[in-house]
Amino acid sequence: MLGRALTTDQLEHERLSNSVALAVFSSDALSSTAYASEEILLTLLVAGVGSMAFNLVLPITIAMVLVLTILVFSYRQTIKAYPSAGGAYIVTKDNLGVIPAQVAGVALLTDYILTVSVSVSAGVAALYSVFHGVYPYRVPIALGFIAIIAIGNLRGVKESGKIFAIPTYAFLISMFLMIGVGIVKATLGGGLDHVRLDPIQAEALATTGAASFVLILHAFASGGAAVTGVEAISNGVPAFKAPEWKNARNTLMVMGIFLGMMFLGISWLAGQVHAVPMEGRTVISQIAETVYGNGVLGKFLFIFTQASTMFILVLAANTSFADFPRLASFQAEDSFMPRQLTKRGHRLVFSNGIIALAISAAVLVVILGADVSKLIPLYAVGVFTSFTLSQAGMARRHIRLKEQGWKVGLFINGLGAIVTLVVTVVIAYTKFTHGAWVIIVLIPIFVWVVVRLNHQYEAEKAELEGDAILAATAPILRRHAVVVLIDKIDRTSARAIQYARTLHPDRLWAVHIAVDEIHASELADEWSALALKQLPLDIRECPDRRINRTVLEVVHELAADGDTEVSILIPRREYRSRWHRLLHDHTADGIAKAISDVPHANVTFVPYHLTKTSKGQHIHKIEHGAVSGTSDIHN
Amino acid sequence: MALFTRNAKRIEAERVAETRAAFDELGRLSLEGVIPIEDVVWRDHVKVAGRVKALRIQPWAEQIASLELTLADSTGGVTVVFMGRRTLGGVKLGSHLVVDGMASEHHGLLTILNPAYQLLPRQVTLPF
Repeated sequence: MLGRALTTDQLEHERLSNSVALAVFSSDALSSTAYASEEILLTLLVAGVGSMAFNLVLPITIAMVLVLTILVFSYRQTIKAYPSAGGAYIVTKDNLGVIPAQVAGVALLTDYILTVSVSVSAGVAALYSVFHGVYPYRVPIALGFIAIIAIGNLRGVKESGKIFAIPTYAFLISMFLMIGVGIVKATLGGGLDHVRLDPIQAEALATTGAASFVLILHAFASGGAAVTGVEAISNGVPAFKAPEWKNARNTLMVMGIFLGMMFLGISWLAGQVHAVPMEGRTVISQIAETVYGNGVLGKFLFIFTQASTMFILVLAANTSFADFPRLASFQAEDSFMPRQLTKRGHRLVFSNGIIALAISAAVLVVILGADVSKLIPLYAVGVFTSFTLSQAGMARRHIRLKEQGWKVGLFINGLGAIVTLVVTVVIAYTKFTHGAWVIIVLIPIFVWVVVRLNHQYEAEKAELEGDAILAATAPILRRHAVVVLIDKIDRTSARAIQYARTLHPDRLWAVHIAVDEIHASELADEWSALALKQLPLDIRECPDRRINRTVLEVVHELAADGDTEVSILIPRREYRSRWHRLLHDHTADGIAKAISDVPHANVTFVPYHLTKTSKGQHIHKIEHGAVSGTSDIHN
Repeated sequence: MALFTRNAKRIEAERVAETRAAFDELGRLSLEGVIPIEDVVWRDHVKVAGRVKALRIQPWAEQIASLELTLADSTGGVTVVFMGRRTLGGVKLGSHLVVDGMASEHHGLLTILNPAYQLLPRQVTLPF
């Protein structure tokens, strides 16, 4: 299903031109404008400030754009300093130490998960704003999107694919067209109509309440989602054409400008048309509907806007699928995450990371019902935490290295660190009761877990690597006892016996665990008729039918003197087809597992390859006696 | 009728008690001087009782016929070897056996070689 396996040398990146890179790396950041203005408005309206909200949304957006500006300039510094890959994790690890890096890493990982959940949910919102009928099915649709993206990534989507540029540019065009038409209509065309509301909503809007400072902070925090994803370009500097860091910097500036302008434009329009977030219709869709009107062309442009919004949001979720597994693999390489996350699957992608991300995001979507405004409070805490850490790390670096122009750099990154810290605190404070507490509780727990995990790995490493050379040259045990487990005399056991005889151990014998007494005595008769020298068969009593225990007993008896290596040979049929494998039990694996705890006990599976059909017509006849393979059969 | 039933029960109970007593007597006689297997020491004359836990089958190609078995009680196990024969009537997996002989060494294992042996019915409780 996932396609042919790829070889490792196919890993090489393709270099991206700036315009393609913009599309690839900025879909996460740009797409957040699809819901950021809406969330600001929603926070204000839920608090009951009424139509005051439409006057407040633009100033709050301006404040967030200021934060964005500072971030863009801060990340210009990071790109120059870390042209290889300057994710928050690496910058923090390099400058602040390993533990803060884990905080940044875990914070970012949670945010990547939320990016998927939020973007997919918002994408579904864009869909049901056009086709209101699908609103009840939003959760299954969102899960479907996640599944499609995950499968696509397991196949290995080329991150440079030109395909990615289309939705991003379509979204840019649709947004700027909408904002442009909106501005023209508002100024030259005599103002825009307000969104039509039902009487209850209109009445709620008519009451104008006062907005407290805390409420404004809360709304500001909701808008914080807009700047998530800004760090993506700094993660991907190596993908740019030479000179990488310069191209990356320019692309970052262009992205910042686009993002700022779109965010401002949408918030301004939302204020103009009095867009009210409501179930089943996003703010963007309301703006688009109002701006374009009800003509045929208007309808077409409305659908174009919604479609491009949906596609860029799905694409934004897709970028998380590239970033999450990569970050997780960095952490796993530093022994702070399970090792499995460093493994590239057969399509050269970090399959385990992709699966973990898809499952976590799906769980979130299901729990919170694919509702963007419920997901948003969880969002942004993590990303601003990692911003703060990476900016603080950059500031520390400037102080440490004192490169040319370090004072300017220190000022920029220091300002960035302080501003993002303030924003983090604001978000954590204002959104604590709305769900941010989950993240604030989870991040320390996860950090603790990964640090514990690291201690575990380090301890293992210390044991495994300690005195390795000494251990390799230490005197070996004096004796070697080999036991072949025999169930019946067939070609499988014949092969195991042949193999055992090549080992020339000090003691060699076969053991049969007598679960069935009649079978055991039949085997005993057969065995005594065998022409095998020096190979006695022990028939072990096993009254409780616990084969594993009995084998363990045998091993313990043999290893009791502390000077014997015990090898247990288990003949095993290897099945070519899965169906055959299903037909047989896993006794052999169970035995191997039971013995594995005993020191100096070793298990060897001796495979016998069954032919595909296993009807026996491919098996050559062997003359009697050849099984023993010796010439002194009849002496 | 009631009388008859009571009588039958009494007879049955007596019979069971007699059997029990007979087995106990047999056990007392046969198991006299039996030691736990863990106390078996090389070159000692020992008498041990236990269950046949494993039987060793030698292929006919082996020139010297022998019957090897592992006798185990709850304290441990010891190898018992009967030279010159491949089977012993009644000796199979799970049989209860008393052996009386010299603890020696065979293939590097503590072994009681060619002991006097006695099969015990299951009803006789083993001491260890």
